[in-house]
Parts: sequence; C-alpha cells; structure tokens
Amino acid sequence: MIEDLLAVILISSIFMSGVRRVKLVTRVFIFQSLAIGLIALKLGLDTGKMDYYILGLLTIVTKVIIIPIIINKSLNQLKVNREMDLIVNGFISYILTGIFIMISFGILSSSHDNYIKTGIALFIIGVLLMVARKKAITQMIGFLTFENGIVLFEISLTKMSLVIEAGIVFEGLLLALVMGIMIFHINKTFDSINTDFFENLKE
Amino acid sequence: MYIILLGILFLLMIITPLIFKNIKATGLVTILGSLFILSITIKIIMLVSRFHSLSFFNEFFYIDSLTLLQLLIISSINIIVSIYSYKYIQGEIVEKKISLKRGRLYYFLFNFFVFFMIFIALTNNIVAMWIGLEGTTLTTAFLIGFNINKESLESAWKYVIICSIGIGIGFIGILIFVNGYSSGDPAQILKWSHLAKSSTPQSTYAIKIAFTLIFVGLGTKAGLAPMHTWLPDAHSEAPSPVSAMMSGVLLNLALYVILRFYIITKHIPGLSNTRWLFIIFGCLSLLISSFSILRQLNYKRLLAFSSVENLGIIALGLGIGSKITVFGALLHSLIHALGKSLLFLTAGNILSAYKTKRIDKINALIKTMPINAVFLILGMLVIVGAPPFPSFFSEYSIIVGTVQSGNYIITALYSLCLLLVFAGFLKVFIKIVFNAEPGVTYEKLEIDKENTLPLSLCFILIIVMILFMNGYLSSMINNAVSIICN
Repeated sequence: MIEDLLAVILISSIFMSGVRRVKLVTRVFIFQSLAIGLIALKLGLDTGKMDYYILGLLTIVTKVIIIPIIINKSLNQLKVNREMDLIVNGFISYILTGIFIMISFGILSSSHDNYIKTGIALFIIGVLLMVARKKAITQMIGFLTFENGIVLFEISLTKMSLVIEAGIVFEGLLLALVMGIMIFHINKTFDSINTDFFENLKE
Repeated sequence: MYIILLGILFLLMIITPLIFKNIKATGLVTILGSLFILSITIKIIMLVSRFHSLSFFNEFFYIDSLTLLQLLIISSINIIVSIYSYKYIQGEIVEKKISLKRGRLYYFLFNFFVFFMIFIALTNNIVAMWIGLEGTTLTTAFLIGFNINKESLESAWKYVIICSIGIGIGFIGILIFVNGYSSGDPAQILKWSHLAKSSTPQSTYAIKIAFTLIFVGLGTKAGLAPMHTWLPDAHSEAPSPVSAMMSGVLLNLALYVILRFYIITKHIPGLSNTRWLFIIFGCLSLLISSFSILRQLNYKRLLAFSSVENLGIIALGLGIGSKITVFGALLHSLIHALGKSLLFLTAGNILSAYKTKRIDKINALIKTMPINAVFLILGMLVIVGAPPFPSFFSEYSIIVGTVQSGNYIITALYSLCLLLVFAGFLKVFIKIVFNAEPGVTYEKLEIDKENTLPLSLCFILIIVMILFMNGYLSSMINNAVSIICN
C-alpha cells in the first residue's frame, strides 16, 4: 500500500514537471499531497503513534484543501492566461525529471528507505519547477513540492514532539499564504505574474 | 518567570497595533515595550553572571553567555529602531506614502519579527531555532515589500524564494543531524544543551553531510556569499529601520544558529575540518563584497554589501577557531550591529530628505544636513574599523589569529579586502559629505534635525561599549568564547 502511494507521488511529480497548464499542475499537486497524507495516516494505523495521525491530517487539511483554494482563487482573480511559460520545455523537463529520479534512487541504492529516495526526488523536482518556470505561481507550487519532500523526510527520519511538528506544518501554510498575497500584489503592480519583468534591480 | 514576562510583553506589543487605531499610541507602546525588554535582558545578564547558565520550562529555554550576547544585540538595536520607527512611520503617513492601516501592519509585523528573534536566541530546542528563523522570513517578507512598488516587490519575492529554499535545505540538514543521534533518549534528543554534552553519534559521515547542509541552508539566511544574492536587493529596498534590524541583528542570528550546530559538531572526532566551511565561505564573502563595494551606485546597496563583508569577517574569525579570533568575531558581531544600524538609520534620514538612493545625486551633505553628515562619518569609521572603536580591535585580533595559526594566504586576502572596503567607503562617503559642486549654493535643510535622537542613542551605546570593553563586556565575551573553543 505504502509502496503504491510512493509510486503515485513519483508519477505525479513527473507529471508536474512537464504539464503546461497551471490548473492541471495544481490538481496533480493535490494528488501528490493526498498520497503523502495517506502514507502518514497508514503509518499511524500500523504503529499506533499519534504523531503520524496529526502529521497526516495537517498535511491533508493544508495542502489538499486550503492551499489549492488559495491558488485557485488567485488564478481566477488574476485572470492570467493559464498556460505557463517554460524556460526549459516540457520534453526536456520530463527527461530531466527521469534522470533526477534515477540519480536519487541510484545514490541511495544501498538503503532500503524509499521515503528518503522519493523525498530527494521531490526536492530536486521542486527546485526544477522553481528554476525552470517563469510564472510566480508555478514557482510557489515548486516550493510546495519541495516542502512535500520535507514531509517525507520527516516521516522517515525523526519523531519530534507534537508542538514542533504542528509548528513546521503551520509555517509551511503561512509561507504559502505569504507567497499568495505577494503574487496578488505583484500582479497588481506589474500587470503580470511573469518573473521576466523582474529586472529593475541590477547593479 | 522572566520568560513568561517576556511572552506577555510580546503578546501585548503584537496585539496593540491590531486593536488601537492610533498610530502614535502604538509607536509609544512599542518603544515602552522595547525598554522593558532591554531591562529584562539586563536582569537576565545579571542572573547568568551568577549562575553561569540558566534553563527554564524543562530546558526548552536555555541561556548562556552566547545567548546573552545575542540578547544584548537584539534588545539594544530593538530600542533604537523602535524610537526611529516612531517618527519614520508618522512621517510616511503624513506624506501619504502609506495608509494608516499599513502603518499598523508595520508595527504588527515588526513586533512579531523581534519576537521571533528573541525566541531564536532563548530557545534550546534545535528545531524551534529553525521555526524561529522561518518565522523571521515570514514577517520580514512583507516588511521588505512594504512600499509595494516594483523594486520592493521584486526584492521581496526574491527574498522569499531564495531564503525559503535555503531554510528548507537547512531543515533537511537538521533532520539528518537529529537522526544521527537517534540512539539517545528521545525526550532529550532535540535539546542543544544535551547534544553538546552527548557522546559520539552513530555515524560521523551523516553528521558531516548534515552540518554541510545546515551551513549552506542557514548560511543563505546569514547572507554569506555566494548565497547572498537576495541580500543587497532586500536591504536596499526595505524601509531603513527594517534594513537596520535585518542587517545588524538577523544575519547575526542566523550565523548564531549555525554556530550552535558547529559547537556540537566540532567535538566529534574526525569532524574538526568542518571549520574550513566557515573559513572558505567567509573569505568568499569578503572577496565578493569588497569588490562589489567599489562599484556601487546606490548607497543602501553599498551598506548591504558591507553587511556581507562583515558577516564574512565574523565567519572567518569563528572558522580559524583560536581563542583570540573567536573573541574578535563575537566582539565584531556586537559592534557591527550597532555601527550598521547607525549607518542604515542615517541613510534613511538622507533618503527621506533627498528622495534618492543614488550616490551621485547627493553632494555637500555637511552643508545641507550637518548633523546627519557627522553621524554618517562616525558610522563609517565604526564599520571600517578605525582605531578608537571596538571594531578596530576585533578586526585586528582576527588578523593576529590568522598569523598565529600560520594561514598567511588568508591573512593577506583578509587584509586586502579590508583595505578595499576602506577605500570604497572613503571614496563614497567623502564624496557624499564634502564634495561641493562649483557654482551651487547649498542651504541647510530643515529636515536635518528630524529623527536624530536614535542616531545619538546608537552612538552613545558605542561609546558605552568602548568604556566597558575591559570590564564586564570582555568577561562576558570570554565566557562565550570558552563555550565555543572548549
């Protein structure tokens, strides 16, 4: 079951890297987050530890419900054209993602911890989304993918106290909110959320 | 007891701007609150000097001399900046640059920002330190984009993206770090005071990777080159009081968190070479910033690059790791906070008078704004390390340390960069202050007298620091040095 969910996460991340439409990326992101939340819940069911339940619930509430609402709302408000501008085109992105997944599974081939391997793949794909896309909103989704990787790391590596875990997830949510508000302002000031217009600050 | 008091104080300070519509009252409450914070800090300092270290709430908060230094920096800069903000925000509202609502938002975010910084300094939980750093990112993101124009939004977006990635990488490092110690008692595992005493971890290799990730990730927040790219933009676009706070205090605090991890790491046999991370990144920061300083056209950007340079000096001092250089680094972090705040606040006054950040548009400041010109020169002397000021001794002791440890190449590089910075600063500031163009008559501006109280307060603090150098202050820094070097 958990292996299947991890596979869902990986496949969704491959999808995200090449798809051209912002709405579709958001939907895939929801799938990915749901899979991560379910993994945490399943682990909670298996081990009976409260921490996993909380982490899973928090992930589902923030990343499957609240953050997509923020993204969709700003998409509707901004009336941006739904196509995202790519710096690296779709085909190459797919290949790059594939290579990254191979690398992250290759480096850690000796370890049996699939969470960490998937987590590292998510880090790299998140950063790729941030670097290779021009729209501010896709950069935000890239960051959230990166954060999903962190959650996988957290599941695998450590058991922290409840307050701390809640703090971490809460801050992720807040950061997404901050980015959302900022995108709104950027759109108002620049008439676009294309980061190509960010060229005022040079030496 | 004191911790609870601090908590209540911050709660009041954060709630006030949300409830009261009067911006003056909010400003006064913030000033009063920062006074209380300073007095609590002094009280805590007196307590710790008797007991060596204190811990509260099942060791969630832990105070030793290293914390005290940070507390001292935060609370003293906080009071200066909140006095400055009082007039600054009112001036902006009168000029209709910002609405009343944004003025209240400023105080809300500012107090939250200070809260997170004090939290980082006091906490003993390594993940809570990270949460605090992330909290400062959240609050300062809006403070940088406070003016909502193209430049400030661009810099704020850059800041959020780069720093959140950096801090994410730092968090991965922290997770691996904690995992390396997972054989220990699970209740104690996140406590710094426990980790610093504990025996060797399961795998030194994992700790090595973890510390490198932490250094690079949190180093982004500390503004060490080459991860500094957000810094000049953010510091030049933020409102001047915020730049003063960020440059003087926040960068320092990020380095402090790295230092906490370094203290744990360096005891582990086989990992003493992690100090080269500090040395290499410090030297890189020095090199990149000193050459950038020479070609700046914007005086706030110049000051921002100088922050990178000073953080490089501090990192270098910590990296060399002999007692004298660590002493120099800690002393430098203290004096840099005061000096850089003085400079940024003066720059803020000049900006509000001239409405431009370009160096070539400002001439003969000594005639138009004599008071600010004097503070500008004094601040410059503090930052470049002229002899009567403690920055001279801190920079000098780092030179002595590098020579003693035999790293002659680093000594040469370090002195070259200091010289370059000195030249760059002199060139710009002499031009700004004394250069009078022929045929132009300069009149004294009325605005000169505005908002000079925080500047003089800042300078008085520097003088106080010089006077107490040999007594209490140096013993406090020496205690902190013994925590790091022991």
